Amino acid sequence: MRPCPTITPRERRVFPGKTLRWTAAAVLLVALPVARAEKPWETLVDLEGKTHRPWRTPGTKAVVLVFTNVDCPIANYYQPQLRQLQQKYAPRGVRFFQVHSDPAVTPEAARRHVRQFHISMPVVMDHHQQLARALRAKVTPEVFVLDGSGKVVYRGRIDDTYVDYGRKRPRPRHRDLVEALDALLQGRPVPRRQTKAVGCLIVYEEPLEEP
Amino acid sequence: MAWKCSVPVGLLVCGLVVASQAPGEEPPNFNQHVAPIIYRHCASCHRPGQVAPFSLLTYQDVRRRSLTIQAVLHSGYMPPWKPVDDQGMFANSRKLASQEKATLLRWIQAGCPQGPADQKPPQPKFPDKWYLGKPDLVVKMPQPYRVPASGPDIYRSFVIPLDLPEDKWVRAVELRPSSRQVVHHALFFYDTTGQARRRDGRDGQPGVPGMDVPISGTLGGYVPGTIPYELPPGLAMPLPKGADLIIQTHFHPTGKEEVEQSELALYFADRPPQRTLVPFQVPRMFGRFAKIDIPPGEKNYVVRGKLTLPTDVELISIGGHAHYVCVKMQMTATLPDGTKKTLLRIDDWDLNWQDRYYYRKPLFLPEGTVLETVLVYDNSADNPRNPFDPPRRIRWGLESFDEMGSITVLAVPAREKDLPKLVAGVYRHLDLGYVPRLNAQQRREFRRWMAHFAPERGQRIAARLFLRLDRNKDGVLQAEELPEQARQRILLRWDFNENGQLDPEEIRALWKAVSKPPKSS
Repeated sequence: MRPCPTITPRERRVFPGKTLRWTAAAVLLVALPVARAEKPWETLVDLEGKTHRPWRTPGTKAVVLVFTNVDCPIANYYQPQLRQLQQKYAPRGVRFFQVHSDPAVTPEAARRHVRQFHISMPVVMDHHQQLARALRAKVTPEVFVLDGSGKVVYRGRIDDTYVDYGRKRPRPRHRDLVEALDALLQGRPVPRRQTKAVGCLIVYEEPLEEP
Repeated sequence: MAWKCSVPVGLLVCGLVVASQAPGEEPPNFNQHVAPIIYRHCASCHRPGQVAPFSLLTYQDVRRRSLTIQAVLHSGYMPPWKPVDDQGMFANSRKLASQEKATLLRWIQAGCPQGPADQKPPQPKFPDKWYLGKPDLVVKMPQPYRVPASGPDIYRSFVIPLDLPEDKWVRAVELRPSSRQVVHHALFFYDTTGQARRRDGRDGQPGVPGMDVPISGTLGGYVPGTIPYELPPGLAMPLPKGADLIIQTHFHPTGKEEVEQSELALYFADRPPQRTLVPFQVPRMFGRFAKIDIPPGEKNYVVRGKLTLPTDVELISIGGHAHYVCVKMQMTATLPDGTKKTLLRIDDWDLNWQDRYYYRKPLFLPEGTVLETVLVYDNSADNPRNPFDPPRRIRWGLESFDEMGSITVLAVPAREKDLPKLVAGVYRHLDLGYVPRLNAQQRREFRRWMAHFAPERGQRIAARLFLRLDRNKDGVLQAEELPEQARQRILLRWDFNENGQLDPEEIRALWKAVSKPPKSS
């Protein structure tokens, strides 16, 4: 039986068990040395086997990681928009990546998805959920904007078209990803650093540890 | 707290409450407890080739979606079922029993155990092609329609010439979209005027854009998850000879271009039905005369409509219609003895899930029962579905960003001989343009009842004018049905939308001008 990772930090504080405490301690011990090593997003291998080191690529001003899935309708709704954003921002030094953190999505399924939705950005398979775990991604589509130094400056929704499941604005009121990128590229502080992404929830193979 | 907003706090709390209810008990497992619920309620749509975006057939399918399932169960988004307080009175209910919901939530909370391997349930079986078996007639959209990858939702009506040589009676209609994910829902109508056919393809693409398409009658609809519904024995919907079929489809772009060419299966009755279906709306004409005029920013704009039943009736089905800023609707029946019954209550109206609700068994309502509809509109910026940002004044209209609203009831007279009285009573304003066909004797009786129910001169004239002139009984007056010597003058003056005929609301305006204003119902 594989556990279904529904135990979240919030609940754990409500029922702190002995085992959980020990697990947390163990995880902390293991995680500490890792934290000093390279971040998992510094080297990204795409579906074609090509290795990307965006922060070692000249001209990189920002990196956008989009957590996605092949069959999440909300993530797919944004695919045409993501393609347009990439076309617009790539020449200005923004590197876009899409990340599959669902182990059930095979590379073949991901390639089919790339063809069907004309995805033009590199697609990264995160089958061990290292990227998702390191960034604590919760939802597809959730975007993470990292600046030139590798710091997360924005996380959350692409825009606010989806207010909730089945509750959609005809047009977004806030284009949060665009606002974040524009601010970053113009050297201004990002207006909203974090928003709530609406979509399909990422299921972790092992529960996320407490931050 | 960085993670507060990603998972609603209420969701966790609810989960814990559910989990803590039975501390010592074995948690439910997939094979024995969860699979039967998923197969019964979810898998008919959540399987390959169906409308839902992913399958829920295997343990892995369900497990990898468990958190999303948890979230949509809590938000009420799935299973899609809008009526509240309906106490199981609808035959086509998709609602989960509270116990089933609790089982799913407890299972997710417990870590999604799979259960004993030898208890693995068999995969559910589904009908191959048509749910209701071999159809009497299958028709297809004459041309495929291309839905772009992105952009706003699209409403479009497709006209399928049937060229039926004789009148038919329809027991059931079943839709098969070719691209299920892009078809959000569809409504079926027929048009006997030829107007829809003439407007087809005018913008260079198959079909007629928008929701404003000439219709003479309705044949039901399709919403994802709808189990095709067959009318009770002895009942059928008329489909006159020569009528064109209309599929009014709501598309929502999926992120990739889709090509849609729906097929529609029709199931006919062997002979004309014993009892006549009488559809009517409260308020009438989708609220055309309710003076809907919603100021920008108004959060609680209420529209009411009332109708007193002229005979004993049995309700077969009920359904609402309104556009984007409507948020709630309810129809209540007040019986002559003062008892109140909720016939339909929707607290979160969503145009995307407009459905018809079929009573498990025909609901009897005695003569003198007052049906009252209350519709609530939120035209503020807080309503995410508001098509205008900032909000604007919204008035009654046929376009999707206009507003309208009514609840339509499909009824039969409890005694068929009361048909003319029922028709006269519910159509005293001749509003829908879909009057059941009456024979000569029934028409005479109808006129008598009309004079009784609508004694005002204008309405009497209207009833007579209408019955006399509307020779093809389609609810509108075509140019050729108008007196020749006055035709040009009448059309020039009263054909507001310049479609070459007098639509019901135009006829109404004409009467109003030639008579004193009628009392409101």
